[in-house]
Amino acid sequence: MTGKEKLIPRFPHAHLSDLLLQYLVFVRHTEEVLGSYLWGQDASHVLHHHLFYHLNGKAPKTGDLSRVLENFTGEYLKVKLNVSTYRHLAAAIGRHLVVGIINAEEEMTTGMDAMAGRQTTTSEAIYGLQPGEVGKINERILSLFRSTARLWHAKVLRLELEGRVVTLDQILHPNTTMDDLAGKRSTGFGQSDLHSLIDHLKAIYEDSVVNKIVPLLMQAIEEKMADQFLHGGDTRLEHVDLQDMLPRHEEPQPSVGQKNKGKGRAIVPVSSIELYKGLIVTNSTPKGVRATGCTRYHDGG
Amino acid sequence: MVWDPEHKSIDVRGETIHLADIPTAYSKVLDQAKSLFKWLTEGIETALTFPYSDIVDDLNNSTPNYSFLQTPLLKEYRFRLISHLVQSPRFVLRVVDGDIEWNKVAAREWMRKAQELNGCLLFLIHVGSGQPARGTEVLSMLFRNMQNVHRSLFAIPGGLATILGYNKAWIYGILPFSLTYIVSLDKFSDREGEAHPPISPCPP
Repeated sequence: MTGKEKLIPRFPHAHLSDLLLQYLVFVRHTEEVLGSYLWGQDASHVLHHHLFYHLNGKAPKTGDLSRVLENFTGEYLKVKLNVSTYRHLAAAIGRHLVVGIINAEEEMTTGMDAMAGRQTTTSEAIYGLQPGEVGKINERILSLFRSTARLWHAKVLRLELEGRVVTLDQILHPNTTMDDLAGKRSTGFGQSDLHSLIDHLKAIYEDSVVNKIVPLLMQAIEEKMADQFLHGGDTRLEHVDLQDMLPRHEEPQPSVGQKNKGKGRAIVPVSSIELYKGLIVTNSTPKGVRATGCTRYHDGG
Repeated sequence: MVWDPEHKSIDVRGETIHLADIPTAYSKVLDQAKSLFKWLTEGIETALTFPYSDIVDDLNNSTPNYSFLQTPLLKEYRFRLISHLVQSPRFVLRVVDGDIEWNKVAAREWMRKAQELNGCLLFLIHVGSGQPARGTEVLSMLFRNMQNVHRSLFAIPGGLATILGYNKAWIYGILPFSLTYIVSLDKFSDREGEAHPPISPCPP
């Protein structure tokens, strides 16, 4: 992608924006006057235009940001981060806290990419501002970037923000309104709200059914089978392969990132449901039927 | 980067960073910046008494030296501090024919603190604006247009924003083109008409 310029809007949070405005209004002019007096006209020129400056009013140098980062992270986090290590850290934290991806190999389909200057298919489609498209830097694009920044402020920096912080799914949803992106309360029930509701219900379903009910069912089935075995029920132990059943009980849950894929679609852990369906059927089948825990129950039809 | 199993901390080159420490660290730097701002402004009134939405920025204006700070509304505020220092015997030794002879010791100390504040703001903007820009992009940030370089700090509705050009091939991040879409505050409703939040200089 080298050779293509992009415009990346970034948004400080309200407190920082206010402080920065105060700094520029009240302090910068005095810096320019005193800097010029102490260090000459070159310093005056730098201080007149550049937001950041090097020692003695010189233009900022490459190592300045690393020096500042190392200073503050060393003091407050006890780990000295430079520009490179901080970018890696921010990417990892952003994936986990903002996007909800844990597996580093998973695709990151979010404006987080764009903010970091990375390019992925989705962020490119949504946020890519190529030179020929500069005129498209409009309210919508600014709002998308701002709401993504607000996610960072809320989830990573834990700042108290005015208004509602929209979810990443809402940010990425094409029907999310500008008011939603701005965190304003909407008066109606929009499609993005429906989308959030589906995600919410999906999470509740997975938590209640998969994590709570299925284990209870498994336990009940095991007890029933043991009871039948002890009291001479129809099912004989040699016909039931418990080893085939138990590992499926411990089937790993999909990661958060996997859950985020297929937005708007209820993800049903089919294998778990089929598992206990299979066990129920197996438990009531006549002799000669082998329980496998799979969707095919009967050996011979 | 290696996460702990519960994703509460992350190891960076053998050192552990707890996620819960990041907001604390950020707040401490923010407090430090506010404290420095208070020291530098020597107790003058620094509240802006107009709605933020009164500040008008024209993203398309590429006139050299243009900045939203040129808004006439801000003029009385911009010279308030220097006017205060000029009257301070600690800072001014004498005035000869209108030229001020500054006390260099006091001026250097003031500039040293100002530079500390500048460093705090660099950290706060870099860490506090979402996914970080590359170092050269941040450092090249302008708040006024230069002769051939567009500024990258704008006053848009909802607060200040940086719009940085990004190109992996760039050594020095400049915008080689002008923004062709004029964004004026009346196109937005965000914070419009809302009084600027009271900008107090610093917590006591």
